[in-house]
Amino acid sequence: MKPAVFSQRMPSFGRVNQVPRTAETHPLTWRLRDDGQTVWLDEYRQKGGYRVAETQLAHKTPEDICRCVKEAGLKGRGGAGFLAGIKWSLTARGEGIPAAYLVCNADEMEPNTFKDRMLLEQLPHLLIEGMILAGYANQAVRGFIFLRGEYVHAARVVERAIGEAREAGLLGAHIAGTDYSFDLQLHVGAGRYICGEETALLNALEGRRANPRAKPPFPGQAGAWGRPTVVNNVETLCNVPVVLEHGPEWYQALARPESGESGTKLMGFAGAVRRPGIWEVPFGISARELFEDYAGGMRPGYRLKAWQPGGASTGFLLPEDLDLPMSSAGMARKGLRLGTALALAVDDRVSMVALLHNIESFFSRESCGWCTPCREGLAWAVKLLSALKDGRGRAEDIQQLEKLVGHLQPGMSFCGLAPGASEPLRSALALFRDEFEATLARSPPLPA
Amino acid sequence: MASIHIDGKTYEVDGAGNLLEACLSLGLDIPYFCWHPALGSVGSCRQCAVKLHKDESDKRGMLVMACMTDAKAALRHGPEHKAWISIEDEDATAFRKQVAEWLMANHPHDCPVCSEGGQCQLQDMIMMTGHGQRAYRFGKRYYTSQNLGPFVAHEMNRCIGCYRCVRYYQDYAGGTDLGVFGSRDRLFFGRETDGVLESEFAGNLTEICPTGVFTDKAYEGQFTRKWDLRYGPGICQGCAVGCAISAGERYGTLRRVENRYNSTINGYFLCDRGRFGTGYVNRKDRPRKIYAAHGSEWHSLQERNGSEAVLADLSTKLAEKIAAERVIAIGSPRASLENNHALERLVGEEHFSSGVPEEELKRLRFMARMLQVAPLPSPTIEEVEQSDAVIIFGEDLTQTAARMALAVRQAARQREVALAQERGVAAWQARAVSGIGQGAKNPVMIASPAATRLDDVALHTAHVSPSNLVALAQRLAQVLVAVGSSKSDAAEAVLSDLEEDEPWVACAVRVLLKAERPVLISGEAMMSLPLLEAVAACAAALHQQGKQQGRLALLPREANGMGVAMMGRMSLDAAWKRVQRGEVDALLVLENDLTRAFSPVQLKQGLAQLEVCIVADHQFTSFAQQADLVLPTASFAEEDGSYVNYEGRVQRSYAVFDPTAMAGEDEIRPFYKWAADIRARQADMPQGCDTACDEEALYNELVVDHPIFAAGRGLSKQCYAPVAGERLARQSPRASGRTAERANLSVWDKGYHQKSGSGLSATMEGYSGTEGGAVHPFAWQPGWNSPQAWIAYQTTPGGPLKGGELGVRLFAKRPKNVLLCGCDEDELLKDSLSEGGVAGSVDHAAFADKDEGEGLEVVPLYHLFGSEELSARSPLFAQRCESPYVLLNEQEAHERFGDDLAEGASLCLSCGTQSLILPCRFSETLGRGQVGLPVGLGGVPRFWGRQRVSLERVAAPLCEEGRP
Repeated sequence: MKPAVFSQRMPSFGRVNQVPRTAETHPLTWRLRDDGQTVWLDEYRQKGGYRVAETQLAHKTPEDICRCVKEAGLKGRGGAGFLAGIKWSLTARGEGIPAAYLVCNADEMEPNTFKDRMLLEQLPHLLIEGMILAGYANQAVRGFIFLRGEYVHAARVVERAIGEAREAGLLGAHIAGTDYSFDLQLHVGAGRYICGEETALLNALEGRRANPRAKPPFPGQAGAWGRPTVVNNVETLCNVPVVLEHGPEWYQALARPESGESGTKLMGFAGAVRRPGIWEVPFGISARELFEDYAGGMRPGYRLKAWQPGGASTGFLLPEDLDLPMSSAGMARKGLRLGTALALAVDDRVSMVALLHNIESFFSRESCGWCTPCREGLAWAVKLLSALKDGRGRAEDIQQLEKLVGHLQPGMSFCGLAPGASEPLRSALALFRDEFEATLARSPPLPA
Repeated sequence: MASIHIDGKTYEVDGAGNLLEACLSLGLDIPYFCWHPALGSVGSCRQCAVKLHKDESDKRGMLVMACMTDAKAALRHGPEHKAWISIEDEDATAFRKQVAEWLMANHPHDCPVCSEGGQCQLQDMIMMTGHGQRAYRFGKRYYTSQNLGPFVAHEMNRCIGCYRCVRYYQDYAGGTDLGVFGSRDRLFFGRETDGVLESEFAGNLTEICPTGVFTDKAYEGQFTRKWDLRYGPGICQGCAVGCAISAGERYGTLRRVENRYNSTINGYFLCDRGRFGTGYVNRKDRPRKIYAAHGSEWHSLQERNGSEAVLADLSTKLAEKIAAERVIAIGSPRASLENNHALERLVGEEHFSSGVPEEELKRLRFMARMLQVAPLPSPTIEEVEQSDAVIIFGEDLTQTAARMALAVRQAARQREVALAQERGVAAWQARAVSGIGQGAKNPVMIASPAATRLDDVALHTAHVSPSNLVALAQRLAQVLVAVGSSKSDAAEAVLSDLEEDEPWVACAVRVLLKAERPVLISGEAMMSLPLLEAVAACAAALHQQGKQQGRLALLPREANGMGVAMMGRMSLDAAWKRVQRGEVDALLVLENDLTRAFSPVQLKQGLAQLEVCIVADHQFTSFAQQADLVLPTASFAEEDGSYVNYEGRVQRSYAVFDPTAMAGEDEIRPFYKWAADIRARQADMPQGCDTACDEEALYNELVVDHPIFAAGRGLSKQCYAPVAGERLARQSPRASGRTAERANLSVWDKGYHQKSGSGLSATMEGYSGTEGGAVHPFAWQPGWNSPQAWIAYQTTPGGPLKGGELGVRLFAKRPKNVLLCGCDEDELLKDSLSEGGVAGSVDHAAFADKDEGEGLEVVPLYHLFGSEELSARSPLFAQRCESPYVLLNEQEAHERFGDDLAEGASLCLSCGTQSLILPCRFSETLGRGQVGLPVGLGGVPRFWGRQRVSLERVAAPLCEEGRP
């Protein structure tokens, strides 16, 4: 095998490297190099890396760490926003229960979302340090990084970083001279959106079909290979050293007051904006700040028609909603999820019907085929959208789409894929119904 | 008991299981697909949605899948828990309708040409949801289906993606060649490429699949709708397990065999021999009239006036021979108790033989004796499934008692359930159980001469020759006793010493001592009484260890082997000796192909001494072809009869149809009727006068002569309609055209033949509800046309039938005072069950492969497809039957016959004056000094088993029969 070449690779996410960053305001990204190249072990250590892990493992109990993370209010950064500390405290422990596994969900496949990729490619050791701490807090015996198959460069980087850490005694038996032993294994997925669903991820990790599992039992009770398993997103795990270094109060103060959030968040804006990219920003800033100050507003000649706050599975908002804070509570005001907080601007040149056809084709294609609503319902929705888009639509098609959306809600399908997929469709039908109806004018009349 | 509140009504429930099970057992209809009583819940189809309300104030409620919701969540206990559920809720109803519409989006509208039609769960459930108007207006997806062999048809376009097939095939039955491919709305359930499904239980796919993806090819070849079938509640004739079947007929041909649910034996599943091996009933070349060979004075009669005259003359002449004691009658282990008994009465017990060879009869009597006196009782199939350790001696269970092999797989899988339950996950949570269990298995240990089909679930297999198998079992009993009587430290020391030299024994001892409900299984396969004795000794040792919940299963070969052994009487060899000695003029053989028991020379010697050889059979067996007179008898599908299975359970199999109804000239009758006629003529009485004609009276007559069967009296009470004056209908209430059924033969509505005593009606007229006894001819309830209707007959889904267990265990109470007729008291047991449980000590040298005597030891091998004689006569089934071969240790084969010996080369086996020429196959597991021979397969006679033979290489087979 040819040795991996790491030098002189153009960074893929230049914007985040181009803003002024400090350890105080940008705890996740201040260690990034301006040139976008990977921060390897030496540089990471020079920048204070692994100090938190070493001190915490030596002086704190797992319970201390769990408590601290819980108090800090660190929420999962994968999209669902569940409190990491609560998740950890629910992990089964006790006599007769096998030791836990820690799994990093790096199967970042939400359309328009690439924040984990940036961390994986440029700051792999922050993730490793976070995983050591999370592993210790949950007394996990082994950690797995389930990486999206298409993240080929990230796979090379993480593999090398794990090697570096292992060589430095930061992974393996008796980490940094403590009693705690923990090792990491990189698993590269075969490329399915559903693998980002934590239980489908566990099935895929075990070598089974990537179908989600029913909950309960939750992964914390019985996850990978039947063991209690903690599954956390890359960004969540990268926040763990930050929380433990500075403490809960400091961490909470990073977010905008009254946002109901803690810490910073990697957010972004894509679409026909002037400066698409991702940035580390205080949790709870308004979407307008992100859109105008960071992304620079729309490119000349384009008008903002709608936007999605955090990935293809979040609902659409209108330009007047830009003053909403980018937080769970803020989005909840409109009945939406924040998702991954990597927003998408839809400009006036885009047909909503065509966009929805594109989005739903993706979700239908990525359905695992386990449950009926997702497997059959999304496929039907795609056919309807395709007909509307191509001028083959019928008046009843729009009602049919609404009916389908109504039956793809949480609890109806087996996992969250179908409800997520139906969310943009539901909001688009509500906000841009005229565009759907306009396609009918082009439709040929029905045969008598 | 707790209460549950559903749509305004309160019901008492036990709170076990999930909400779907709770509702279904209350008789409330909720449609479902992915759930199955035998497979548990996975929540994939989303069809069983109901509304769950937390309390009275919760008006909105939450849509939940009933199959994935613990029934406890909906229970009402105390003032805090006032949950209630609604099936009729508007949202729930709309969602269920929507799911139905989704499932139908791609389902083809080919119901008119689909053999599932009329018994299709999809049809039932779609009706239940109320979905009728389809809004889907796009094209349907299309698949190319596969050829899965002669038994199971595949039409993937009908698939609704419920996943039940793969969950059954892979998880339940351990198959590896059927899987799910693809994802999203392009799922494919099938094999990687076309080919015969490997599992011996593949036929169950036809009932597991809720629609017509997997259908019964045997049935398709002679298809008729379920509502046109006349069903008979039968007992499978394929082996000694005695599974309950529903066999369906129309226009005088047996159309299909379905599983007949019962919780103790076959549950929801049959093996493929049972399901597809009954084609012999429909063979055109069956004896249908009295058939007489020319050339003897016994048959000149035929030229006079047909069968009446033949019978009259036969009766007179037979009476003379009986009076002169110059007659022998040979019964059959594949004939019912009643038929054997009728034969015995006809000629007198002194002249009746059970039709089982001497050595086999000894073993059968030992098994029968064990049912009464063995320290551990025989397990039901259900008990095998629930056991926590299984040790199998000598049987390739999948080939000899397949349904039990499937049960052993479940026993192994129970470990996962136990592990999940430790973690608070219920058994019905199928995927969570396998996620936690991670394939953990209860220990299954196998000692056999070569690889078996259960090796994949076995913890430890030992491949030893039949004689060493005996030593191994004896050794196990000995160590069990030794270890049991010593302190734990000492016991541990003994076991660790054994670990190296006798790892299998050491492992088995550990397994047995740890188990709470161990099952020991052995049987007729190795044709070895010492093996049975040694296994019984192991059972005795287990009993001594306080393992009272342990079980001992000893398996006869044939459906009624246990029954004829219990009747006692002389062996086949003893009878034939009398024939050969010329002590007999007339020989009467009932349903027994003697060419499988004797060599052609022996047969010829015997037949030459006879004046007449009369065969009563429903098949023209090789032996029947040599007879002077053949009486056409009824197959299981045409007569009532009782059979005793391996656990001493008498079960009654009921006729499906009257073979004379559609073909008036046929003379097929149950043998007991022929016997009654002959007796009536002898006594100069009107026909049938002295003989009872209903099945209960026949059985009572049997009990008079054989009190051992007394417990089976009153079996007919299991088959009754709970409505005065009614009988159990044998056709669904949808059946039509009874009066037109014979219209092509006669415009007179003669009515279907109706026996006087039976609790069964012959038509759709009668009771078809779920109450009554354990016997139900078929499963059908209003709105439930598919086999899923069985749920209505069960106390809880997948639980016992409302009518109780099928059949009666003769020795359920294990009385000490009933003796087997003709069984030499305890002589057979003296050694194996004496104080201490084990006779003498075992020479360790027994474990070394000993070279005792000349030549090679024949190891009998078995095939589910082909080793059993009747099923092998079924044309479709025969497609799966292999041709006979000889199996050799690969290395030894090359050493003996050179490296150029390839598989398929011809070898000649010789033993005395007998020889067989067969193609060879190689085995990696069969030991040296042995040759594997599939007895029964392709007519290879059973006397070859356990011989010592010499082996030569020959150029090519001299003739196809394998006989030079």
